[in-house]
Parts: sequence; structure tokens; C-alpha cells
Amino acid sequence: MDSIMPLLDGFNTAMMGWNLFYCLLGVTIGMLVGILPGLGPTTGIALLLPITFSMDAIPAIIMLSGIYYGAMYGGTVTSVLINTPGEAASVTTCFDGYPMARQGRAGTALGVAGIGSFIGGTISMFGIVFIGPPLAEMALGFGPPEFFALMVVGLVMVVGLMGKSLLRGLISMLIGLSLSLVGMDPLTGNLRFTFGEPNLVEGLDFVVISMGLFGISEVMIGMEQAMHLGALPKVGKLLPEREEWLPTLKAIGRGTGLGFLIGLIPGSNSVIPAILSYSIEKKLAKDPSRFGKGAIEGVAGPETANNSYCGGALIPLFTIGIPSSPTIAILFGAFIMHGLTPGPMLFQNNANFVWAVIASMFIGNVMLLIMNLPLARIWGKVAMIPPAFMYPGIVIVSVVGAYCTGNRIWDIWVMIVFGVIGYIMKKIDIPMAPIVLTFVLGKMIENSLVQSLIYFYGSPLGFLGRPLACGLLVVALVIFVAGAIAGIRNKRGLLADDIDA
Amino acid sequence: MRGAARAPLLGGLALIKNAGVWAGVCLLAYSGVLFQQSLTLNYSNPMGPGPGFLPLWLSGILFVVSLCYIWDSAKSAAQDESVKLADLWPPAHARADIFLMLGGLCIFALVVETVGFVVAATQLIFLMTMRKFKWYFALASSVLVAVLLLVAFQTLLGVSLPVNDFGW
Amino acid sequence: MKRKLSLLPAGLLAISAAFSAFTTTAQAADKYPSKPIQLIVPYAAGGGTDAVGRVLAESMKNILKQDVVVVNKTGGAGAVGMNEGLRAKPDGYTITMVTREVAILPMLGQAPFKTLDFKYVGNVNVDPEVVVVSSESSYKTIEDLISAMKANPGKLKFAAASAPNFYGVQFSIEAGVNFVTVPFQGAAPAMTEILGGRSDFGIYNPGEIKAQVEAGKLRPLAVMAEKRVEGLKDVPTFKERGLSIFCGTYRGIAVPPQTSDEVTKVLENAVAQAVKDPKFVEFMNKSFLGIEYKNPADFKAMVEADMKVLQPVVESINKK
Repeated sequence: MDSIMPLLDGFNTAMMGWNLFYCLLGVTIGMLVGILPGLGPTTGIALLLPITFSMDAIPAIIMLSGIYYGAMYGGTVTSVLINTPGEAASVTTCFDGYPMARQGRAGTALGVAGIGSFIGGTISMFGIVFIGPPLAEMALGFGPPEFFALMVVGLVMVVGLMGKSLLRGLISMLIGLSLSLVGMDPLTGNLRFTFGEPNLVEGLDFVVISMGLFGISEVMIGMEQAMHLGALPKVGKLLPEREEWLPTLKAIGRGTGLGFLIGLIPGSNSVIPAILSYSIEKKLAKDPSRFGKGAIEGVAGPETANNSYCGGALIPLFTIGIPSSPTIAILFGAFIMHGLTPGPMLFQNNANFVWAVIASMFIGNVMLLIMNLPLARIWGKVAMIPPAFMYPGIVIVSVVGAYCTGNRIWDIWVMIVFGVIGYIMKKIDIPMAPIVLTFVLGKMIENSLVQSLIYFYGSPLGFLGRPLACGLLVVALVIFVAGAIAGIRNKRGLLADDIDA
Repeated sequence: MRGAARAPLLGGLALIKNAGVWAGVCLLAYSGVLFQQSLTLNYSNPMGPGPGFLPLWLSGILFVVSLCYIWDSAKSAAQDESVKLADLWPPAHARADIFLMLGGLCIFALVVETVGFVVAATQLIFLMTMRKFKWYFALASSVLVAVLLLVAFQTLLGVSLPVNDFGW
Repeated sequence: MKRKLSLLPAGLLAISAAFSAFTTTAQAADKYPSKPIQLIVPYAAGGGTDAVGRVLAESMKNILKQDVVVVNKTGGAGAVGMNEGLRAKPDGYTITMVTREVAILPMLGQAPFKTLDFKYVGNVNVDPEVVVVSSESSYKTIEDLISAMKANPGKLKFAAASAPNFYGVQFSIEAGVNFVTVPFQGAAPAMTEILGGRSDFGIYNPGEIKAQVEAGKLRPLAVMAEKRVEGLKDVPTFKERGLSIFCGTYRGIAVPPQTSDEVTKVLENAVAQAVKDPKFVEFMNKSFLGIEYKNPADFKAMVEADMKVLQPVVESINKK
């Protein structure tokens, strides 16, 4: 409990003068880069880093970390309203957030996401304060074999998200995995499937693919249906119905724990907790068929998990000096630039700084909640804009976003191609979610498998010597076999009823 | 409408018109190309799986799955409840909208580096709005949006967009 | 529909205002530089090259009295951005930050240009590589590590920050040792492996290891440089230990070959002044990035020398 007094001191510093303003500025910019596809927290922080050269360390880091967790709130908005994830962590929010908006519940989807994000963000801050350091040391024991096993569990969970047809889900999953292979191979640097095209050497970009598959193709489908769609959706109320509160809060609770724990693992990213949370919610729900059609837990869980992840991911940075994701790596650079060395000595040498930053994160989360709840109503109105205005808007934002991911025209072409592919896939009922999810997991699975095997000098039996990895693999196997058996039992149903919402 | 009751000729025709069958054939070709490419990569490495290990297996499995998919689609084609090839083509009422958008996107990508963001974006938005609003309103708002976006990105966010020699 | 129409005059007004603003900036085309300069950084925002590019742009801006805008053109491990910089209009308004990859990529056949196609303007940064082990490891000196590798060839594990790892290959060739390379995506996950005790050693830049060295978690054994490095004064160089391994990355400015000499001269002076700018120096020192200015001739000579060093390394990689 000796963390309380310094934390209060931290609040003192964070509330002082301009610090509060920089906190507000940071979270506002974070919201903005989160909302705009193509700009994510990584780019946002990198772009603003030079501006902080002339600032003091405390306001600078307060602002930059505000961008980091603010972006997690912002990413939700585009997912819910236009079915295009603003940043990678919000892919799963499209699954149920967008259907909710179509049903006139955009306000509720955004409201619940805001509340969940706030709870996840705040509780993980308490985690940093009280239980972070010992956990961070333990997370160091998490190496490639454990990571590989965790990814396999994630992949098996994705199989569970595939809707009704195992065959179509598998196709989608395999396409996603095969796309992730494009580019330089992680072990030897050999080029795969690049056909001599330098633009393919670093592979395809996740944001570009998902903007094509989700955004552009959605506009095409929308143009087709516009004639038949009668009433425009309403914003709806902000808060869930009374009977929805309990499941929502439970989802938020689970999302918080999951996100926080995964944040501790170096090398993870915010997509993993979101996927896991979504699958867990679907598995635990009394009626899993609601998922994909606007289930409120499907928004609350993942949105909470990615914010809680943000807090968790700061622990390895603060306590052992290891950045666990690319965004944190830039934040790490910002620390160094301002003369602070992240790591075990940080709490001792710069205690005032650390506590002020942590306190500012509490404040920032409150600001974001205040900004988001009323704003949810305003954003929700965007969903009511007539398609004649809406579609050009989505298209131009996607084009700019695609260009901004690498400042090259190439990405715009890739987006167009995936837009057309997505349109065709929607027509023939192949689900698109597994493509993007397995695309994200694909590279990491291959990496960690190869790294593990190198550690085991080439023998797959080495996994047996790693109890945690072995256990996770057994869990994955059990889930897979159980799913397959259930699939075979319902085979007739599968083939008879293939239309997936 | 049982498949068995149909004449074989009709069944064959349904197969050719079936979108799923064609998608399956495309997937088959895709996996075939990947498989062939994978063979050029080393399957193994002194230390374990090489760069060709995962691609080979993935494309192999995708090949088999595509065959299953073709079979599945063919079966449903026979039952006359599947998506037809013609259904993939945008329906008449939306055709103009969809092709104007795709055309606008392609033109954007082709010309943006020479004529600059403002002109290219105006063109794209105008193509998408001209059928819905009076032409002068569509044009004015396209220009306005394009300029605003450029200003917002370049000035406020410090992200550079492609521009012409005059800086827009 | 009344509301829509009322937007029209406002819109036209805004457009004409915007146009007039643009035309005024475009007119004054007398002396270079008369408009903002684009600095292509061929890597994503947030990396080391991006950081150097941005701080250099900031300093050059004050010297040239013109905006220097950083544009991240990613792709092809740097090949896409460098190629675009090379093929840009040679008017000095598009300049490129080149890195060691300018020598590596063409040798691997992964770039659509040749290393010496560029006109080199000035080098600003050189970072030697440092061999580190965990502070809990039993290897106290570089000799300990090398003799352990000689005693158990192919057993010790090297956590590499990239693949293929030129530093590792060069180390293995020049020290005559054999070890297992475990590739990671970046220095941070690789260092985690050393801290977690799964890998035995690593080779990274000073900036990457600074925090862990200061915290006493990593032990630097030797630097692959001619002389000791600022901030790591206690760490011997390989040269002191009788091994001539020099290896590191460098970053500088280059322009298309047809760029006129006047323009190149202006840029050359700007780069030379920028590296002395206190703001630049402070940033580089804080970030643990080594400042090393080289004029066009020296820069080109360094790249040429590096190509010779890389030759056997690339051959050994291609053999695998």
C-alpha cells in the first residue's frame, strides 16, 4: 500500500498547470488517429514526437501516452459506424458493433465501448500501481514456445468464429494465412510470393487489406441495397437495456483481466486480447447465435480488453524496460529522448515522473469517458447520414488512409483489389473476418514456431519440456476436437443453412 | 426440384452458371500457384522447417479444401439454391454507382502523383456524388472536401499527401 | 434544399481563398530552396532512421529557412523509398535518407538500383554494433564467449534482431565461430530472450541496449568499432582484443545523380551545419545515436569500403 502516497503526489503534478492541458491534447489526438483508418497510435506518436523535443519530460510523456490509450477509444468509432476498423485492435468490434448500428443502436454500441474502455483502462492502471512489477518478471519466462501455443489457441478460437459453414470458414482462414506469408520470410530473409515486386517485400499491410475487405466492399454492397432499405437507422439510446447490464458488465470484467494479462507478455499485440475476448464471450453466451448480429457483449468484451491491454503493456516498459509492442517501442524512444531510462531504476530515479504519468492516465481515462459518452451520440448521428454523403466520405477517408500507411500509391491499388474480392466473397457467403484475423496471427505463428524449433535444435518434442506451452497446446487440441465433433453432428444443419449474417 | 430428376445437360449448365464453382476454381488456381512457388523454396533447414515448410502445407490444404468447395457448390447448384455467376455482377440499379466509384478510385490512383491530391480527390468525390446532386453543388462540395482534407492532413496532422508541383 | 444551396457561396469562397494562398507560395521560384523540401525516409515512422530523419529535418529547416518535410515511404526493406528518392526529379526538392541497406539491398539482388547510382551528400550518423550477454551469464569477457563457442560449436544461441543478420554472420566469419541464430523482429523481443535466459548473446546498437545496460541487466562485452563508444567507455573494442571486426549501420543524405552541383552544395552545407546544431547534438546524444559527419567524398568512400566488407557476408548468406 506504500504506492498510495506517491500516487497522490503524482496526481498533484499531473493536475498542475499545463500538464492537464497536454493530457487533454494527447487524448484528443489519440481519438483522432484512432478514428482515421491508416493512422494508428504508432504513427500518431511518431509524428508528434519531434514537437515534444522542446517540452519538459513530464508533459511530453503525458501527451504521448495520451495518444496511445486515446487511440483505443477512437478505433471503435469507425468500426461501429462504417464497418472499417480504425486500427487493428478494433477489427472484432466490427462483428457486432456494425450490426448494432444497423439496428439503430449505434449510440449503445459506442456507449458500452466507452464504458468498457474506461473500466478496462482504469483497472489496468491500478494493476500497474499495485501488482505490476512482480508480474512483469514472471512474464519474461514467456518465450517463443509459449507464444506459439497461445497463438494456436487463438487460431482455434478463430475457427469458432467462422459462423455456420466450417468449409467456408476454413477457406477464409487459409486465404488469410497464405496472404500473411507474402514477403520476407522471418528466418532466412528469403522472399516468398513477391514475384519480383519490391512493394511486396514487406508483405501486405493489415490496415489496407481490412479497409478494402470491410470498407470498400461494404460501400459496394450498400449501394446495391440502398434501393431496398427503407428507414435510416437511429442513434438510439446510449446505455444498454436493463436486462443487458449484467452480461455486459461480466464481459467487461473478463475483458479487463484478459487484456491486462496479455499486455504483460512481451511481443504480444492488442489484437490478440480482442480476438480471445470475443471468442470467450461467444463461447460463454447462452445463445451464441446472436453473435455477429449485434450482441452487446461482443462489443463490450473486446473493447475493454484492448484498453486494458494498453495498461498492462506499460508494465514491462516501466519495470523491466522492454517495449512489448511497436507503439510502446516509440514511447520507449520518447522516454530515452527525454533523458529517462525505462527499466527497474525508473521508479527509484524518477519516481515523481512515473507517478505523474500514471496519475495522468487515470485523468486521461476520465477525460475520454466524458468526451466519449456525449460524443457517442454525435458520432452515432454519423450513422444516420444519407448514403449519398456517407459513401463518398468513407471512400475518400479509406483512400487517404491506405495512402498514409506507407505513402505509396501501391496500397491504394491493393485496397481496390481487396474491395472487389470482398464484394465477391460477400456474394458467395464466405466470411471475411477469419481472413484478417488469421492474417494478423499468421506471421506470428510461423515466427514463434520456427524460433521454438531452433531452440529445441529442430526437435518438435521439445514442446513437451515446456509445461505451459504443452498445456496450452492440449487446450487448443481439446477445443478443436470438440468443435469438430459438434460440427460433424450438426452436419445436416450445416449444409442446409449456410447463409451467414 | 431434386438434382437427380434433372437432365444432365441442364445440370451441366447450372454448374457453369454457378458462382461458387467458379470461385472454387479460382481458389484452386491460387493454391496451385502458391504450391508451385512453395516448391522453389527450401522445405527444410538444418535447424528445422525452412521458408517453404508452411507455404507448402497451407497451399496443399487449400487445394484440397477448394476441391471440397467446388463439390459442395456443384451439389447445391444441382439443387438450384446457389448463387449464380450472374449474381456477382452488380444489379442494374447499382451498376452505375459501383462502377463510377471503382473507376474514380482507379483514376485517383493513376493520376494523383501528377495532378496532385486536390484534383484527384475532387474527381473521385465528384464521380460519386454527381448522380445524386445538382452538378454544381456536387463539384463545389467535392473541391471543398478535397481542400479541407489536404489542409487537415498536411497542416494539422503533419502527414503529407501526394501533391502536384504547386503544392496541392 | 435551401440549406444545400447556401453552402455553395461559402464553398466557393473557401476554394478561392485556398487557391490564392497556394499560388503565392508557388511563385517565388528564384533561388534554391524556394519551396518546402521533401525528405524521404524509407522506413516507417517510429524507427531509428525515422528519428534521425526527423531531427535532421528540424535542424536543416532552420538553416535552409525552408520547411523540410519528412515523408515515410516504406516497403521492400527500404528499397521502395530509396528507389523513389533516386528516381525523383533531380531539383533538390526531394532528398533521401539512405542507410546501410543502400549497400546491402543491391548486393542481395533485392533493389531495383545500384548502390553507387546515388549522389551522396553527407553522412550524419554511424552506430557500431555491441555484443551483449545477460548480466547473470557466466561469460565475463568476449574471450569467454568466443572460447565457449569454440568448445561447443553450434550450441550457443544468438538472439538476432533481424534476418538475415549481417552482424552475426560477420562475427561468425571473422571470429571463426559457429552458433545458432534465432531470428526476431527487432531488438526488443530479441533482448527479452537474453533476459529470459533462453538465448546466450546478442548483437545490437548502443541505443537499443542503453536502458538494459544501465539497469545492470545486460553486460556489454565488445564493440565492433575502431575506437570506444561515447557512453560505453568501459567496453573494449574488438580491435583491442585482437579481432578486426568493424560493423555497424550508418545514415546519411543522398540525392539523384543528375542533381546540379549548386543545389548539392547548398544541401551539403546545410547537412554539415545541421550536425553541429545543439538541438541535433542533444537529441542524438540522449538517444545514444552516434554523430559522425562525413562529406560527400568520405561518405561515398565509406559506402564503397562497406561494400567490400559485405561481399563475403553476402556470399555466405547466399550459399545457405
